[in-house]
Amino acid sequence: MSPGGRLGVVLGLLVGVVGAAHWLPPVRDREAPALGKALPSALGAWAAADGVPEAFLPPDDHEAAAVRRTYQDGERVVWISVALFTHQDAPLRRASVQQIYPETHVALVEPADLTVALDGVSPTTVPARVIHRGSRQHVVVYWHQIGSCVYGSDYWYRWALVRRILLARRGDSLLVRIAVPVDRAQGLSRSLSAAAELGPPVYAALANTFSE
Amino acid sequence: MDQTTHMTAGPADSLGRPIPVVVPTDRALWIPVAVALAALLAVYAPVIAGMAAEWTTFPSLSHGFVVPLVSAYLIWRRRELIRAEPVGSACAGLAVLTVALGLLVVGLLTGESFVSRLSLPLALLGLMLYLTGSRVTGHVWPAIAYLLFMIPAPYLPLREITLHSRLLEAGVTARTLQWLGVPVTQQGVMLHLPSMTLEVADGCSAVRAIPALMALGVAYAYLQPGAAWIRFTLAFSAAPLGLVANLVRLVLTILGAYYIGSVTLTSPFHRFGGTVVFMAAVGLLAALGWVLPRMAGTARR
Repeated sequence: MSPGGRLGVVLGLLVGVVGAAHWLPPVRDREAPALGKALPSALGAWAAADGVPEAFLPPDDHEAAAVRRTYQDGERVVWISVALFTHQDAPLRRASVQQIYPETHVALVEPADLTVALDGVSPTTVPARVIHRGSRQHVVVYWHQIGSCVYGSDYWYRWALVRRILLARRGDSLLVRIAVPVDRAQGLSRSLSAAAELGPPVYAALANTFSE
Repeated sequence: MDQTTHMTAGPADSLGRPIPVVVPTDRALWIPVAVALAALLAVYAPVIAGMAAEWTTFPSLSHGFVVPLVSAYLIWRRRELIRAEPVGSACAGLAVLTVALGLLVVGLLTGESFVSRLSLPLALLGLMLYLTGSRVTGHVWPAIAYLLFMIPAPYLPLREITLHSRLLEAGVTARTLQWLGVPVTQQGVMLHLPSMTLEVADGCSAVRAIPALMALGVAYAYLQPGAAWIRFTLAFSAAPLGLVANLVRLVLTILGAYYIGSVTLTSPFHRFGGTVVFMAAVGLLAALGWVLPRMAGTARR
């Protein structure tokens, strides 16, 4: 092929790129469903009250909608935040990793994980972060949820989001965070067991509301 | 090579006269390359503008403005070699270009800016291979590869690496200070002195300076004469030197805070810490560049 012909091929490819980037339909996310109804006001023995302390589960500026509740069973306390993120083809509308790795005034962010059968059948390992602030500690168990699919790894979640945006032209997902204070005497495992107790019903409630 | 075309005798016309055939010379062959490059850069304009915005916003990324200039200089240095090569074409280049443009589309549609940015050097490589062939591309690929240094690191792994780096730096700083007799205790990234608590924050970490130092180290090493091992050592020592310079800065800052007071935390030494570390690393790199060839010379003798 002549140099001019090769130039034509290159220009054709570039026109194709411009076309693909501009002529594909935009991402269309469904209207945000009522998140408040998705998260039950009682989960077994756990009774819920609206709101959580922001120091433990800070809100994300990019949330399209969110519900945060404090669940209490006797002396045990668990804070849950479910946030909906939409149109995440725009980087500024994605769930911010800052809420998982707080940037300031935290002495240590220690990685941990929790293996739990969220769907009641197959065990899934979801990540947890033990946040040390001064003498206090709390653990945050979190996952990203798209329909009934759960992503513990941020990288797998991003990959799933890329596929969803490209193939389904949808860019919505949920970020679920369950925070539990860590009692040094009783250890991290007791806090994680509280998260493991509440994880499956929260997952089920969200999977029902946000089924694809 | 001043003229763009010349004529040779070709097939004859109906009257038996030879039909002149225009054979493009090298300069004419470069016109499609220039047109394709201009079109490629136009398509990538939003990607380049996005990177430039980050280079402007974050001082640790400001080296991004210099990287394309260094890359252009690397090509200019090899201009005679490039000119001497025959311009050809490699079909593999079309495949590389297609993959790169596919990545660009994915990056643009999904907002994965790192993917679209990463596709730019790949697209340039594919374009050069396809339009100039492997001989010319053999001379320009280092300059294209160097463009990788202008791409801001993806945020997710950068965040994790920074956290680990802060912990490492806080630990080494605490141990060094204890060895120097300063009563400091470490809790994660917090360093507790009797009178104050200091945090090894993101801005105190060497991680954000490392891409700039690596870009500098690789360019410096590439331009150095001498044995490959010297250039290799220089290229890969910029980042560790930056890490060491930052540790020295942290130790000095906390020594100052302990012996002089918290006023040292508002001093220019601390406020322009990134620049101080960068300049110190540059000095150490230059010293290494001076010492290594002499060591090699001594060893040979």
